[in-house]
Amino acid sequence: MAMNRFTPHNSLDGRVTFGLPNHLGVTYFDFQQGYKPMTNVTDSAVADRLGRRRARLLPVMALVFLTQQMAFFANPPAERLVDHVRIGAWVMLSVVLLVVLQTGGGWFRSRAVRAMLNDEATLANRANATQWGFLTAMAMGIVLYVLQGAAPMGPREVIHLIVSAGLIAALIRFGMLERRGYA
Amino acid sequence: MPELANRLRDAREARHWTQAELAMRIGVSRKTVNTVENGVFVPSTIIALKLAAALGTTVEALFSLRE
Repeated sequence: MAMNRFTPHNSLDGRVTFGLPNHLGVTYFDFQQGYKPMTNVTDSAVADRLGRRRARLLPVMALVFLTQQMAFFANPPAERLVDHVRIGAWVMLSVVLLVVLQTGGGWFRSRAVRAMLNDEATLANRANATQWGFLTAMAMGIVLYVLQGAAPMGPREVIHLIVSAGLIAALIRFGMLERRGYA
Repeated sequence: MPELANRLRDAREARHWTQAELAMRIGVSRKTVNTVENGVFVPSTIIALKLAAALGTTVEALFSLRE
């Protein structure tokens, strides 16, 4: 009888296996324990919970970041020590948000959980969000270039606005796409 | 451009599996299974093969082009 890939058969170690290529890693049949999934329930549940939380939090973080920018430009920094702290805080927050956006968070979780948190659909959503962020940053750069004649700004403010616009757009877009996936 | 039709939900429900159960078996999040079932996300060949293998069917039986 011809045996296809999905026909259970005896492996060399005497156990009945499902006959799937190992790299697909779907399920396998253990003679004593039955079908065993690739991941366990706990990892899957944790990844699902973290993914939902991330989808809720990212747009909120974007709004908090936006609010911080409004406060920043309502009272532009000078060269006092406290102003350098404000600028440093913006740099830190921007870097953290950028890292969260690119890595997906869950840094202290197991590799299996992180893999599920950053699975194929998430990577596609992140690529789309990054594209939105890039286009928004470019649009902001063009607008600021045009406005430079009417309302001159220093290089620090221009860079600040371009980075903030790109980050906020990417975070909101990523959060929206992720929330749609959990609907 | 033709869209991708899928019978993933039917195949999963025929086995009385939840989306979370199927996701766990192929090592992806439930969100991925949900978005594939709803046609929001077109899976890669690897995910399609995993889905077909987990459900004991072929990729062609799960996915087809909608003209």
